[in-house]
Amino acid sequence: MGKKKKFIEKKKSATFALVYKEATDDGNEEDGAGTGRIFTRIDGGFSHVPGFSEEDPRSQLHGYAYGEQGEEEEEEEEEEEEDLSMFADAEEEDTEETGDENGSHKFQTAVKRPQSGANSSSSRFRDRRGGAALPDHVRKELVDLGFPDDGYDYLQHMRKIGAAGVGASFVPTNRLQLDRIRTDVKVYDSSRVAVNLVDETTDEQRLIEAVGSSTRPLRRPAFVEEQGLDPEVAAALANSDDGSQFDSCDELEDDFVIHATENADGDDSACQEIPKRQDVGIHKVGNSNGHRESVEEEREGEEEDEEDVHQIARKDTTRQRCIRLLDEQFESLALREYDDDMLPGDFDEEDPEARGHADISQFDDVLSEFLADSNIHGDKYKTPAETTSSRPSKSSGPALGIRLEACQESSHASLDDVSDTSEDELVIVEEESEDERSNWDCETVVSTLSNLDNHPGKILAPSKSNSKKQLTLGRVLEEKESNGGVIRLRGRHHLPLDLLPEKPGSTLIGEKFKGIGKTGKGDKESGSKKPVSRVGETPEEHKLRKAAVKEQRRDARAAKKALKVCYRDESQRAQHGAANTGPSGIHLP
Amino acid sequence: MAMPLKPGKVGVEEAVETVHRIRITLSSKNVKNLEKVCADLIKGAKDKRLKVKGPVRMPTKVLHITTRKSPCGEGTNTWDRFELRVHKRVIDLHSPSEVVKQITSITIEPGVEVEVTIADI
Repeated sequence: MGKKKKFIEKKKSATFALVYKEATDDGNEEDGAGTGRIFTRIDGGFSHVPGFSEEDPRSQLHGYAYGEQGEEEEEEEEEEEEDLSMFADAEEEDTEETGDENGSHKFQTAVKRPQSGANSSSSRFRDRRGGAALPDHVRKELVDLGFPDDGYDYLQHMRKIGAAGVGASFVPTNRLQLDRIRTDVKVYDSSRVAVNLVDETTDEQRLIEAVGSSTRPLRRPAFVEEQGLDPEVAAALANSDDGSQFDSCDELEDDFVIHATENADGDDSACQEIPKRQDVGIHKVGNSNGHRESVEEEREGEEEDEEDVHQIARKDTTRQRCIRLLDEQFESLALREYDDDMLPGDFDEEDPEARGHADISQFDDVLSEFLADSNIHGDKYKTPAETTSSRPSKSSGPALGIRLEACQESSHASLDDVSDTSEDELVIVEEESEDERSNWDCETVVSTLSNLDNHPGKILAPSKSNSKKQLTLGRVLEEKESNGGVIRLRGRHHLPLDLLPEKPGSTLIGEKFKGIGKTGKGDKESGSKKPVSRVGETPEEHKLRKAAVKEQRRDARAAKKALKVCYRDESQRAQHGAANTGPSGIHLP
Repeated sequence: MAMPLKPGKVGVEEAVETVHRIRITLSSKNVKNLEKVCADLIKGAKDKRLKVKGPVRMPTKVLHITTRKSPCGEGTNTWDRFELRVHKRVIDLHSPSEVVKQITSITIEPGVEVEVTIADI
């Protein structure tokens, strides 16, 4: 079935999209009332569409010379872009023909179109131009900037500095790059040399003087570290110009190391003996702590002290640089301050200032005397057995007597010891006579106890009348019932006298027990009325008698049970009360 | 190329440009701007006394995006429903291409995308 003819056939159509184009530096006016919008082809075809293909940047890229077709603006553009365009050296046949025909109007009419169309068609499919299209000065500039010379104009992506007040001006620095110069090249700074015009009358000598006075050799401060050279070697290299230290054939002597170090340290004799003295120095320092005498022997004066200073200074094998005056001073200071000879805590035997009033040997027995002194320790350190063993027991009386004797003995011993001290100090000794000594007995001993700590009192049996009229809930309820729900306050102080404890024995408990007891007693009393089986009683009497006995027993049982229950209830109530009263409550079984 | 003019007048009437079938497709998210541009285009074309058809309103394409409101997974599962509407209008003309270029360059609103398809080229 045939399709309806479409308005536009895709294969024969060209599609353009309206896009925004950013403004270029050459300040060209764009179509579209200066808003920067242009039509670009988006369908990928290359056919020419009048009016649309002209401003299509794609067509420009692919080298379609639509260019001089007579649009005024475009011609202007072309002229401005001539230098940068790839088609700068293109055949300008079209311009000659169409240049006159350009009208003021932007859009070309159809009259010119066919004519230019033929030309344009011939020049339409021009090949893409190579690098030769760029003018030489542009190419030179590109190469200077570092861009490859491939015919592409990279300058169109470069921003001009200072154009239209944008950007700052570029001022290159004149920093000297020493690392690019060879190491064996000397560098001189002649920037201060005044350059004058040289003519024939100028004195050569004057010129040389002027240049020489202003020129100064440049130092290379960063040279040393970068190259990894020792400053000494660098200095040696720098000074090599003055006079060759070595032979002309640049041969080094066999012991050049020693010579080098010798010169650096300033001819210090001690330095030459480094390998020998080092060990000795260490040995000396190590021994000085223990053996003072050996050190004293070796140190005979200040000279040797200085040597020791040097040795200690040399001791540090890791020290690379030469010893300065400051280092020597420091070492001597250290030795002076912390010299082993002058330890403050050490006592010399010949030191007269260390003596006291008495000879030290007299105090050898101080400790033993102290331990043996029972006056200080008392009876603690001497048991009666010890006392009796030290002094033979005289009698074997009662145990108390022995104890008393032991006490007496110990007191004797203490007294004797006091008197026996051979101290030079005056000791007042008072010897008690036996008569004056008090005779201790139980009563006296007990009476010595203070009444403040011990309160004497009579030990009594616990009274049974501790049971007070306890206020229990049951009692309150009973009173309430009896009084008709009213608790009466009686007396002067308006107290509920019904509930307060009264005379002992008349409590509720007592009443209970009384009743039970009475009943019990009553039973017993009526027990005398117990029916006794008589001889010849009739069965009825037997029955009656048995029934009566049964009744009695039943009552007795009930009474017993009531009593038990009463006891239990009371004990529970008492426990409650005891729990509430506190820790001083009476313990109940 | 379609030549609506008589063959005899080709050489004489050089002012007559080849008239092409041109389809202008306008698309935008904003209906108001789109309608304004359409109206301006049609008005401009009618001023130039061109044969105009349109604007044909294509069905609106709606892009739905449904996302969870919550940035975390906690909470009641509430969802946001976003949509993006693209409106499309098509205007058919019978005119030379330069005139069309002139017309389309004048009236433009931001956010409106213009595509010009020229037939038989």
